[in-house]
Amino acid sequence: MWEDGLPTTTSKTQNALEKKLLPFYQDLEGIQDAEEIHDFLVLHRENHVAYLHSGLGQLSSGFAVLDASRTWIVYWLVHSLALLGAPLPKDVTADDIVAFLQSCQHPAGGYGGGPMQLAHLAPTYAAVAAAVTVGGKALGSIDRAAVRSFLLRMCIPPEQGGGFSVHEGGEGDLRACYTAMAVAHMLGLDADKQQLAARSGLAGYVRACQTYEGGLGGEPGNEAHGGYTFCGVAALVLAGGPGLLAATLDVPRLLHWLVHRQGSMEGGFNGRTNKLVDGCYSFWQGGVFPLLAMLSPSALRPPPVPQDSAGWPEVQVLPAPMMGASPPFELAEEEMHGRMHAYETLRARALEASDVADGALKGAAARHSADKARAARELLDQAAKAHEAGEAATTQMACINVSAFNIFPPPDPEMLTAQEQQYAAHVAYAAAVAAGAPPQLPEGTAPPPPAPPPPLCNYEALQLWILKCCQATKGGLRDKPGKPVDFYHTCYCLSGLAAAQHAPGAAVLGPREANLLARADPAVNVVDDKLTAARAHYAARPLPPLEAAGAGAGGAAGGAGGPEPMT
Amino acid sequence: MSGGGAAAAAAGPLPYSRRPEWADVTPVSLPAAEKVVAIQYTAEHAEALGYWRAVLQSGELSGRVLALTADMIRLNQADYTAWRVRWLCVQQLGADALGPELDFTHGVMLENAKNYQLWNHRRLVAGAIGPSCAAREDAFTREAIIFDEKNYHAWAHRQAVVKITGLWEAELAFADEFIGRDVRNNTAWNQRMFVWKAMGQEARLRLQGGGDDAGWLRSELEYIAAAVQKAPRNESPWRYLTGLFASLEPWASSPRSLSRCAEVHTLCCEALNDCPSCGPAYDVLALFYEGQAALSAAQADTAAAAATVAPGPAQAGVQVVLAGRVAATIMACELAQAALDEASVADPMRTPYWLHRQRGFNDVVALATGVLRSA
Repeated sequence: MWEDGLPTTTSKTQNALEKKLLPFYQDLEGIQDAEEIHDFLVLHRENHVAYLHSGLGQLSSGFAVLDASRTWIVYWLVHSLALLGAPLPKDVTADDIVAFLQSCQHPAGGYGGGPMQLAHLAPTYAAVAAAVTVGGKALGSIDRAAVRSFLLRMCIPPEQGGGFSVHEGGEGDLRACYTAMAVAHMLGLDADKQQLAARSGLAGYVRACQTYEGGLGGEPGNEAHGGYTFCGVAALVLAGGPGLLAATLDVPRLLHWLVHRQGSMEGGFNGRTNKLVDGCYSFWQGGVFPLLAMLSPSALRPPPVPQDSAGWPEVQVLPAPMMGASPPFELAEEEMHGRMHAYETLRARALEASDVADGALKGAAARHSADKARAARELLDQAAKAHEAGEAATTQMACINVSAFNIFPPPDPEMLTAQEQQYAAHVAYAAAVAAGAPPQLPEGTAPPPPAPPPPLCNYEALQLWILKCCQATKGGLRDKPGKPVDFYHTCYCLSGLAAAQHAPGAAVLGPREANLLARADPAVNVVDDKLTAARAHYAARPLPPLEAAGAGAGGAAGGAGGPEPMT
Repeated sequence: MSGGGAAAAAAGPLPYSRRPEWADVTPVSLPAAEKVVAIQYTAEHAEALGYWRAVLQSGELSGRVLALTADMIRLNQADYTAWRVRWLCVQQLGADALGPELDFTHGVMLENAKNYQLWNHRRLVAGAIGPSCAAREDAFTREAIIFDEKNYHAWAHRQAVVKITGLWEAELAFADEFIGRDVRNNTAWNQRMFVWKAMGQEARLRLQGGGDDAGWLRSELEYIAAAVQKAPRNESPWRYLTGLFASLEPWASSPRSLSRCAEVHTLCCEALNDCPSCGPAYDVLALFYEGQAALSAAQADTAAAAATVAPGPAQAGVQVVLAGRVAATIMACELAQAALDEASVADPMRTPYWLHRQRGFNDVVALATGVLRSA
C-alpha cells in the first residue's frame, strides 16, 4: 500500500502483510512459460478431503465455542466435500447426519445450532443447506410447514424497521434477511417468498443498508461490509430475481465498491475499505460478481439523465488537468532510489560527524566534544531511520514486482469490447426469441452464439490468492498465511474458488482435472445438482397455501406438510 | 449474583451437583450419544449443560437461572439461547437487574469484543435504560474501539445509542478523533457520514450555526481536501467525497450533482498536482466528466425537443444550443476516457472495471449524436 509519507496503523498492518506474502508470490517469479505456471497452482484435493473428514465425527473440547454453530460445522464440511466431489467419511453416514440435524430441529419450526437450542435463522440456513447437500432421506426430515411459520415469525414489520430477526429477541440484520430467503428458496417455498418479502419490507430494508460507498452494511447506517453485501444482494435475487436487484440498489456504485475490494498485490478480497484481505471474502465478495452477471451490462452503468431533470445552466466542460500516471513498478523503483540516496547521504554525514567528534575528544577542544558527539548521534539516528525507509521502499518494490496484477495482467481491451458486443447480441436475440418474435436473420446467417459477459474483476488473481496463500499444503484453507486452517475458511475459500472458476467469462487456473470444483448455485451456495434435486423433491410435495395452513398464527408442529414419515 | 456463578476457588468452581441451591433439579442428558460433530466437552461444561437442559425444559426464569446463564456464556460466549434466557430473566427480575448487566457485558467484552450476542444484549440493556445510558455506553464502546479501532459491532452500537440520546455533535467529534488517529480508518469515516445522514438536513445546518447547504458543503469539502492532502492515495476520503453527493440531500435527489460542483474538479486537480499517479483522483475525475457528459446529453435532448416546436426565427438559436450540447457531451466523454486510461496505469488490478466504464461511453456518444441527427 502506498503510504504517501504518512504511515498509520492501517498502512503499517497492510504493508506487514504484503511483506509476509512476498515469498509466496516470489515462488512464481521467473516462470516464463504461461502454461508452466499452472503446475505451481495445484489444489491439494486429497489433503483437503482428509482434513474435512477429520471434522465430521468427534471434535475436541476446543470446539465448545462453536457449540451454538454445530449445524454450521456440518454445512461447512458437507458443502466443501460436495464442491470437491468427495464422499462422506466412512465412519459417518448420511443417516447419522440426518439424525443429528433432526435433533437440532425446534418443535415450533427452524433449527438451533445444536440440540435443545432456540431456533435461529443462521443455523437454520446451515441445517437446510446441509440437508439439501446430503440429499435423499435428509430432504424428508425437514418440517417445512414449521420452518415456514418460523420464517414468518422472524419478519420485522416495516413500520418497526423491517428486515428479519435472527431469533426471537435477537438482532436484526442482513444475515437474517439472506438466510430466511435462502431457506425459503431451498425448500421450494416459492409461493411464500412474496409474503416474506412483503411482511419484512425486504427491498426497502436492503436498500437502506446500502451505504454511501456502494456496498451494504449489516444494518442501515453501518459500514459497507463484504459478508452483508453478499447477503443483501443474494436476498434480493432470491426474493425477486435480478430485476428486483436492479430496481432496489444503486448497482453501478455497488460494483465500484466491490471491485475496489480486490487487493492489488494479494489478488484476494478484503471485507471493508482499508482492511486486510481474508480468504473467506473470496466468496462473500467474489461471489457477488456471478449475481451481478445476471444483469445486462447497461444495468451496471449509471442510467442516462432523463431529458427534463438535467436542468440548466449549460454544463461547462472543465479543462482537464495534466495527466501522466506512472506504472506502480516505476514509481516504486523511483521511490527506492530516492530513499537509498537519502540514506547514503545521511550516512556519509553521520560518519563525518563521528570523526569530528572523535577528533574533538582527543584534541584541545575537549570541552566541545559533548556537543559534537550529540550532533553525530542525532545524524546516526536519522541515518538509521532513513535506512529503515529505504528497506521499506525496497520491500514495496519487490511486492509490486510480484503483485497478483503483474502475475496475471488484465486482458486486451479490444477483445473485451468484442466480447461485450457478442454478449449483447446474444442476449437481445434470446430475449426476442423468448418474447415469441425471433428476428429475421439474413439468409445464411447463424443466430448470435451464446457468449459470456466480459469479466469485471481479475478472477485469475483471485484464484492465485486462494491456491497460493490460503491453501495449506497439509490440507484445509485459511484466512491468510500465518493463520491456522479452520472449517469455516475451508468452506468459503473453496466456495470462492468455485465461484471464480465458474463465473461467466472466467477460466480455471491450474491443472483443470485437479482443480475444477463443482458449480454451486450463486445465491444459496449449495452445489447445483443437489439444489435442483431438492427443489424437484419439494415441488412434487407442495405445502398447502399459507391461509389454509394458518401459519401466521404460529401453530406449526405436525399437521399437513410436517416431516415426511421416515422409513 | 450476575458474576460467574460460584466463586472460582483454586480447585475450580463447585460442581452443580454439590450446590444446595440446585439440589431440587435433576440434570438432563441427551437421549443418545452423539456421532456427528460431537464436541468432547470438559467435565465442567458437560455438567453445566445437564442443568441447563433441565432449566430449558422447565422454562424457569429466576436468579439462579440468571447465574447459570453466566456460566453457560463463560463456557461459550456465542450461546445465543443462554443470552436470550438471560434477558428474559432480567425482565422477570425487574429494573434492579438491569444495572448489573452493564458489568456483566463489560466482562464478556474484555474477553472477546467480536460477538453478536454480547452487543445485542448490551443494546437491549441500553435501550431499557434510555437516554441516561449515554456516558456509560460512550466509555464502553471507546474501550472496545481503542483496542480495535475498526470494531464493527462497537461502532454499530454507537449508532444505535446516538439514535436514543440524540448527542450528534459528540458523535461527530468521536469520529473526528479516530479519523485524526488514522486517516485511513474507514469505519470512522462511515460514522461521520452516518451522523450527517441520520441527523437530517435541518439539524445539520443548525449545527453549522445557520448558513445554507452550499456553505455546509464547502466546509465538508475542505475537511476532505485536508485528508486527501495528507495521504492522496487513501481511498476513504475519496469514497466519502463521492458518497456525499450520492447519499445526502439536496444533492442525492439531483442527478449527477457531483458534476455540478466545480470544487470537486479542483480537488482532483490539486491531488494530481501533488501526486501524479493518484488512482482515486483519476477515478473521481472520470466520474466528474462522466456526469458532465450525461448532463450535457440530457440538455441536448431537451434542446432537440425544443427545436421541434420552436417557430422559424428561434430555430437557429436552438440549433446552436443543440450542437453545443452535443459537442460538450463528446468532449466530456473524451476527458473521462483519458482519466480512466490513467487510472488503468496507476491501478492496474481494476483494469477490467475501468474498461467496463470506458465501454459505456459509446452509448452516451451514440445517444447524443443520434439526437443531433434527428433534430
